[in-house]
Amino acid sequence: MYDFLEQNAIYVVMLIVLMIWAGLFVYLYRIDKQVKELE
Amino acid sequence: MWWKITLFFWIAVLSTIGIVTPIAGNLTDLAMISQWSAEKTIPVKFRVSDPGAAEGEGWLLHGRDDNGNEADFYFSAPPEGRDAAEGFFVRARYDRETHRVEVAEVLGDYPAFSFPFIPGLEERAKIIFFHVPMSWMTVVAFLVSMWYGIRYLRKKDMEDDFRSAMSAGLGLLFCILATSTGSLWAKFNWGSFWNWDPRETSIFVLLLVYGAYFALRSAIDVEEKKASLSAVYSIIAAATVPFFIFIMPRIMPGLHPGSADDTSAGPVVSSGGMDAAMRVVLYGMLLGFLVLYGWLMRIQIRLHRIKLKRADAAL
Repeated sequence: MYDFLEQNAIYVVMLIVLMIWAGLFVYLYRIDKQVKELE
Repeated sequence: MWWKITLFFWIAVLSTIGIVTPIAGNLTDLAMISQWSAEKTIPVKFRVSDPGAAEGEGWLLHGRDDNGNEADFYFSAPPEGRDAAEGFFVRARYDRETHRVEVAEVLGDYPAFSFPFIPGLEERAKIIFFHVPMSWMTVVAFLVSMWYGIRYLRKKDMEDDFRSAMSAGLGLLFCILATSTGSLWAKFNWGSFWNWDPRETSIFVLLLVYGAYFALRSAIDVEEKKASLSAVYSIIAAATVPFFIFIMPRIMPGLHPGSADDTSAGPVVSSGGMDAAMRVVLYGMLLGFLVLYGWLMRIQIRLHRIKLKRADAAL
């Protein structure tokens, strides 16, 4: 896995984009939970 | 409605451009890499100035890069479309003994749009489109948090306190994202997830400072007291942000670009050391995330107002 990512650095960048998406998703999920409480 | 769709496509298209655009070097890069390693190949683009002729089992042609430097390019098999080709995009190495470029693989035609090859970074240079907007948004969100902290102290409006806290929360989210993305990248570029580089140290302290902000808020039950104490704290905390982000990492030697011992680029964006195409994508991504931040703030504020209305109606 490490060797593959070292050889194909573009996948490191892709993982970084996925991390950002995951972070934003968690934030949206928490807003959604608040909306559910209001409902 | 429309601006939200536009925002989505704005970020999606710029991310795609940032990832898909090929990195293409020139003859100067090839010569530099050949000093470090005789075997390493890098992506290079060049224009054909002489279509050349067969040599041995392969093909030798003459090419010129964007800087006007010229060299012989040796293909181990005659490249397809060599008569019509105006340029090539290849993976190659420079042979210091024969003084010619040995092409290992033809990647395609001469790319119309490409990012420069940066020795030591290569494809990993593309992190700048995602990691740097995260840390810039951290600064923006913390400064906005301070702004609403000041407003709360002047007007004693509880909504300002809420905005200040929400902005600090978003700042913390962006701060965590900047730290974790940078950490993963550092493993592959600097060999370790964490190196205690000045910028890594300073963002770690920022995480602690703003972590303490939320600890402070959750420790106080009386609303007014919580609001004024956290407003004062947010002002003091934001005063440290310019020092940690803009000053300390630049006066100390470190791994990030723009450190005191960095002779190549300087502060990458402000010193003009960055390729124009990369800068356009970076600024576009920054604008996209700025609007996204504004949108998330608005959702939180609207949600908060509805909560307050419900609470009033229940009384």
